[in-house]
Amino acid sequence: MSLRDIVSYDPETQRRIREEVVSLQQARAGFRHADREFTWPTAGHVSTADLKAMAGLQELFFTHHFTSHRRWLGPWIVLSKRLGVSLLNRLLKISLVRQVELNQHLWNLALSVQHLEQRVMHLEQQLRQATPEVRL
Amino acid sequence: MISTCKAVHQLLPNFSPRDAIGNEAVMMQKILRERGLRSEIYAEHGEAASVDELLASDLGHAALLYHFSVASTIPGRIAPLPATKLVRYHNITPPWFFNNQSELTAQQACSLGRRQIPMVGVIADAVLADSAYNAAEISPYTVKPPTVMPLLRDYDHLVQLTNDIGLNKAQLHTPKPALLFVGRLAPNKCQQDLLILLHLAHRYITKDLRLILVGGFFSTDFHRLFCDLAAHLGLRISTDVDAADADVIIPKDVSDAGMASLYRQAKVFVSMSEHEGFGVPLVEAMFFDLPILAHRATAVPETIGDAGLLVDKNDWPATVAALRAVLQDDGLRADLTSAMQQRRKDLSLSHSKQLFSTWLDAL
Repeated sequence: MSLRDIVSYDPETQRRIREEVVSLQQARAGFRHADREFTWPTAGHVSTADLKAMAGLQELFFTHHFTSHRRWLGPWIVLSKRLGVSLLNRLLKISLVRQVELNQHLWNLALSVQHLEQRVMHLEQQLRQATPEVRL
Repeated sequence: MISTCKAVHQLLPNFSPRDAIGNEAVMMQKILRERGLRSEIYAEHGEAASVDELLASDLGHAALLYHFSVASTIPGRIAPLPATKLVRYHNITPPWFFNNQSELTAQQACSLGRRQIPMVGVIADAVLADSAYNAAEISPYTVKPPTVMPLLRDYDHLVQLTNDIGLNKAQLHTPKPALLFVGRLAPNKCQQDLLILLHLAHRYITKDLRLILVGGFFSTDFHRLFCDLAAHLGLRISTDVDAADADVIIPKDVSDAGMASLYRQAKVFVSMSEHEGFGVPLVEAMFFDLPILAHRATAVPETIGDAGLLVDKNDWPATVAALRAVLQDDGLRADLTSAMQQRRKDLSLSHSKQLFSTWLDAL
């Protein structure tokens, strides 16, 4: 169903409607959403149980699925070359030493993973285009 | 993949047979059992056997179907298991909607949930998404493209319900026609924009109009901000559907039959929501032939198809004009009704059941 078939208000009424909504800006200020470039809250806002669950997931993601599933070996090698083994090792180490200074390490890890995910997505798109026969 | 399986068990972070996802799990269980498979529902919280119980048992030749809608420890716990892992992706609200102090827990939970999307995609052998919008979110991480299947839901059952206590016909036949929205009162649903729409409608269309919002307040901050804005606009709020002088009605404890009554009595279903992974109330409105006016956001256009009026965010003149048309133009209402009757065939329980069976066959 198209809005083209609906009769618009005349330009003057449209202007008044817009101005009226703009005049409500102050009253609506509290509803403003955070920036979509989400910044992580401080570690103190997250429970230890959440952090442990997250750490467990990161470990599984990096250790189990990239290394023990054959289908991930190819991408793992490519990722290592593209991202640098040091970054992956650093992520693993942070995950493994999570008992020490748990919160700070994990938030660092989360931020690193955020960047890594973006790179993984980009890499997967490239691989799909270059080698469509490969199932990612 | 599951042809050798003797069981497909479902796992949910929370389970209640009365919410949309829990209700779908029950329907899936029925379909799986009809295929001769054993199928139980397990959850971390709620009215189901514990996930711990399942994971401590010998899974044998069982496949696991995980309903992914919030952060949980389930993906990490099932990842190392040799069982076939199926994922039903229902979407997770992005955290940036939750910006106030009383919403920080939700903000963190959503952050963790969104962060789990790549991992859940990676561990899944196959993914079933409620919408193409949801499928697009998780597909960069999945082995093969997700299959899209609308939520399994018996909308006809709701339509067949008659009025009951608290929301009977007489009470709803108040002098003012109603705009209706269904969904928790939360930042991502943007009910504050519905207040503005009502305010503009009173000024430019008719004073003879009120707004009914079904759903509880998500946070104390949102409640305060919503009430402040309503007061600023001079709109009176009541929980009593019979309150003739109220502009905004937020009824409490609405039963399914009461919900059906509201869908029947309303003039337009209005949605200013900025985030829907699917939008069950939009479909419910269609099953009641209730015309829809909605913001063009996330999965909303896909769910409505051409059976409703879509407006751009912040194009208030067009939004008010569209509301005026749908309230006053009988021809437009008839066209929308006809389009809704076509669209709901694709969203019906029988169609979704067929899609689910086809998906299972292909595994």
